[in-house]
Amino acid sequence: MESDRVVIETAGLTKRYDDVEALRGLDLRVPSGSIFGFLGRNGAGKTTTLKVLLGMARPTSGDARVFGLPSHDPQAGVEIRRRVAFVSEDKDLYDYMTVGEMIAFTRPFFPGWRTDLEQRYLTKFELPSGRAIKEFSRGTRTKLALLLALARGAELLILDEPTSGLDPAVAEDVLQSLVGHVAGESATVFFSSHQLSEVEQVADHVAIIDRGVTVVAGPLDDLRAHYQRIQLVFDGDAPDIRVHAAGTHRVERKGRVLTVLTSSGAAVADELRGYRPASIDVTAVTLKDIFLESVRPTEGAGTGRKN
Amino acid sequence: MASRTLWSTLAGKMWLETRWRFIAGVVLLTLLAASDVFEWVATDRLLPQIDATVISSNASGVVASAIRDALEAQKTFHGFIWYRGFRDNLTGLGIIFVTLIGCGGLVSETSKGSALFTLSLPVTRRQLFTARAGVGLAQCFAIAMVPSLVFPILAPAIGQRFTIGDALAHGLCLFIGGSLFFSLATYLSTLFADIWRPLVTALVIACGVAVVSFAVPQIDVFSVMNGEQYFRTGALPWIGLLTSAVLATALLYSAADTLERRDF
Amino acid sequence: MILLKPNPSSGVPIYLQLMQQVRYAIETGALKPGEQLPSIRPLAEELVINPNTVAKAYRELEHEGAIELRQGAGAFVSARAPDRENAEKLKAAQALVAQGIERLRARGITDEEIRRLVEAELAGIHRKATEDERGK
Repeated sequence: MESDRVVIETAGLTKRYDDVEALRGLDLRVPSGSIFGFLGRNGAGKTTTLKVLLGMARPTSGDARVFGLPSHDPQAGVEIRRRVAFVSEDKDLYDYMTVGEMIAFTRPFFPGWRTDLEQRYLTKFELPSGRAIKEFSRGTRTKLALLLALARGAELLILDEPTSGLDPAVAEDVLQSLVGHVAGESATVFFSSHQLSEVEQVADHVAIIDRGVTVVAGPLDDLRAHYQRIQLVFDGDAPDIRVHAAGTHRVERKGRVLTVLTSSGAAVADELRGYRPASIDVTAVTLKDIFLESVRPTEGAGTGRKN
Repeated sequence: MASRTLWSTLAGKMWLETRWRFIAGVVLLTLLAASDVFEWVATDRLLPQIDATVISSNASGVVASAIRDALEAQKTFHGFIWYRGFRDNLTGLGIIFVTLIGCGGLVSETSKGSALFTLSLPVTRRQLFTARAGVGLAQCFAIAMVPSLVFPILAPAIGQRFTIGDALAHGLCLFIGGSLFFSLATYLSTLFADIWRPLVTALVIACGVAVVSFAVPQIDVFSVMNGEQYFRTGALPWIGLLTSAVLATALLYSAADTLERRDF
Repeated sequence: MILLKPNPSSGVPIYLQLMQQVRYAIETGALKPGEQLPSIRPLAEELVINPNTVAKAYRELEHEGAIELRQGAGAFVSARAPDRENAEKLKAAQALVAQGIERLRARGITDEEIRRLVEAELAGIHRKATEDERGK
């Protein structure tokens, strides 16, 4: 999978709306063939980034490229959108159309349209044929949007919160289709999400964006291996100390417990052994921990401190 | 993708979005035109009586002379059709319907929740705009021409005559004058995301122009639209038509530009 | 042969979980030498995990010699006889662990506490191993 080709690349991407800076120098690299999770709090700039990549919003400064083509150029934008499938957060569709009409409308725009995939997903998703889209439930709507995205034979799928508002069974269907598509069609998936457990399940790369900049990015396995949480319990109150070991990210003190988030657990355990803790626990860190650690504002001294 | 399929698919979508407004407009105006023709029969009988009492009065003032002009014009079938048909019904309602057709478009799709889908298609915004403007202008043309042709077709039914040449000339004036309002609505639609603000603003502007044109007859676009000069002198109002066409084109170009620069 | 759905939030990378499952299956005989493993795409779809993760697990297993990846044909368990010795060792180890856990439970220690004790101990062992490395 790991290829040198990068399908999405941004460098110092800035986007200003009136007096609000949605993006403040965003750097991003999405490798070809990956399933890339794009995480961030609400308002961090995720949707803005997607819109810039698709030519729906024009960057204020910086560079944004898809397939190496500049996303804000009108002609290049057409070429990009011919090879990309986008599903918006609200699953934008023409509400007055039926499933058949929507497919008939979309198909002519994509010379690479795959009738076999269209048939497969029509059956698999059990989409109703006669009714107008405005009557659909959110799950059915999502499935139709996904069908239109997958059947056009796109090399890159860009999805904004694909499983938001879906019940777990439908969400799993969506993820399964994405995974199947990536495997079968050698496509890349770039999706934003709040569902961290889902991202952990299917993504091999992630980037976390906070206040318009990338704060964490890289292969998910590498990121997880990078962090450990060490919990030390003391007989008396936990000592209010500064941990000097390199790679320490966060120290929290609460009663008799000292918790350290670190990328080198051995060094921290070493340093703190001298304080004679009653017990030392090591737990692995989940994506949620990494996320909360990366986007949470620094707390005041006394409760915890960032090293 | 073959160009023809692209344009026909886009045009098909634009048609779907405006067809009811268009059909309502054509049907309504055609029916009005037809009713105007048949109304002549009753009016014809009434005229000699009104003639005697009103025309001969010496009342002065704007209103009185306006009434006199109106009656003077409607003495003949030809004048009646011009006054009632083109001047009142077709111009008045025509403006409303072409304005309605001009409303909507890509920006209003934002409030309908489909803008991002349209924008994710492999077409430029210019192509989207051209498809919409093209379909809209064709609809304006039909709204202008079809009711106008009712007159030469139905006139013989009541023993009167209205030439096809006159119908076409008036239809052309209706279309070109009306395209100005269509373009205005289209331009306003690139500024607002809802469908009501462009509509109301365009109609308010139309009213404003109507009021101001009492004092400044040069901007009386309604007179161009109802072909008054052609009616009175047999010569088409070339200056007015040209001005309308140029302004309409300028508005459409502005609209396309605004759309290109907009952030969604 | 059924592979269990990996737990994405367990802290153990998914590819490692898969590798552990496959190794365990080979050692206990659930997967026989020469037997074919599920292809990457259907396995990824069934478990709803990233196909690259499955590919990574298979690559690492091939690196270890546990499986062979044949061009165009798929993944197969290595034809070498399974490491009987290792399997015996693991069986004995399993018995020791079971004994230890029973004794801890008899003292009233909960399973969760047992797990944490094991983790801490492993971290300690790891630290010592790193120290030994540095010392060399």
